[in-house]
Amino acid sequence: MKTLFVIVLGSLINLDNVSAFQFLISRPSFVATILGYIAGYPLEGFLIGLLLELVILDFSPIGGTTIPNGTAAAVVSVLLLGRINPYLCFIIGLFAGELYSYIEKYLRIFRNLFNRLVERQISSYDFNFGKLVILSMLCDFIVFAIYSYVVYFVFVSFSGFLNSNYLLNVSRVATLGILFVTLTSLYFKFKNQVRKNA
Amino acid sequence: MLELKDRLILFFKSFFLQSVFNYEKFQNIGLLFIISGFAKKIHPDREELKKFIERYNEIFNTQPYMAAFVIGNIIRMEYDKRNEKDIENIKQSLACAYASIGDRIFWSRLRVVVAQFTFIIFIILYFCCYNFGVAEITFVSVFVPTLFYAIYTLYIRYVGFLYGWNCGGEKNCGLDKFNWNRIIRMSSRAAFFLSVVMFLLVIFLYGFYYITSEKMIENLIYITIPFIGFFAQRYFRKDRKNIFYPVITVIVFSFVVCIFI
Repeated sequence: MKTLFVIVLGSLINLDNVSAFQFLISRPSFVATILGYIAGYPLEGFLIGLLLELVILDFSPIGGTTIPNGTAAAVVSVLLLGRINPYLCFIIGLFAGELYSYIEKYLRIFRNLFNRLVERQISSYDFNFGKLVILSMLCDFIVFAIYSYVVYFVFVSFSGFLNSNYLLNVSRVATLGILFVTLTSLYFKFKNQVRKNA
Repeated sequence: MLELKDRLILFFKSFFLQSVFNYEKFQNIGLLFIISGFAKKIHPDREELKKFIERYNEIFNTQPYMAAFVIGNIIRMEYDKRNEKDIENIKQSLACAYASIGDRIFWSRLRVVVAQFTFIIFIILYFCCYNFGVAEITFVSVFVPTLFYAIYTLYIRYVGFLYGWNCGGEKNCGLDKFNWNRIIRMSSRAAFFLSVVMFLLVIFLYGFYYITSEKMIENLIYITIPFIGFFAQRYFRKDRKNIFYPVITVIVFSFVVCIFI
């Protein structure tokens, strides 16, 4: 039941990413903290979310490009907490977020169909576009929820294998390494920007 | 005139500009959703309204927070019954200009600053405020920067409609109301400063927590990790590869070295 609630809430928050508001409540640290609290892992959720956010900050959603989805990454990571070691949850979440960016791309291509619906509406003098907005957000919600559940289900099925000591060490060392990759990336990104602006 | 009620409706609807984002016409349906209500007021005739809607069912793409400047401008021009070609030209040129400014300020800089503040607030609270529980600390760390960011974006969106409406028809509408270059420069400096602070804090905490193992081999691995992360990032950034390349390199490195742990 808790899993279902986390997925539903995560899918709702994901709408903040592109579809509505953009208040940054869909950023991984925010989502992972809230969902982590619900799942019983507030600190682990927060730390994983923050790390995911640092990696994803390397991308900017400029000009309609799709970037790794931080919300998907956070939801998957939090769902796996308690079943797999937290370091591995972070790494799986990171790649789950990256994979969702491809799904997002196809969703945007799918939404081209909405243009045909708009044309049909306009020709029949129906100018209420609110229903298209709701329909589109509903599609987003459903796709995200199914995706989160499928990824969660796949990795939980293999949790026995994933809980080995060797993988715990690997994921711990990798997580620390990724932390330094992100910090280096941020440092040089802004160093160059400051130099350009000077 | 743009009454308070209209303004609030436009403001609320503008949150959904990207809800039907598609690769054919980008934010066209979101834009139609925002302006259709106001269009009904200025074009009570069905045929005229249909023509109006058809004109706006074209490519539209801008930064969602800055869209208010463009939308305020175009509804004012429509209200004043300006030439259709002029409206289209101004709409497209302003959408491009504001997209560029908005992307640089919000997506490339402020979004990063929010995450950096989250990290720094957490470190301060976690190590200095012993009375707080973990849940409270994490909640404050994520809520405070997000709240400031959300309030700032709400302000920009609301003010954008006002500026857009007041200077409707001008090609540089709103572009000169804020010193955008200064905002971009300042946010770059803030992000750089916070990056340095974060780097130093992490190095200190990392050394404190991880380089304490009594096993020589583990110590050696933990000392190597920051250098591997650093050089992997620099190597792949040279070829403009995205961050997943150094990330995968680090994971492969971990698989190899952990054989010795």
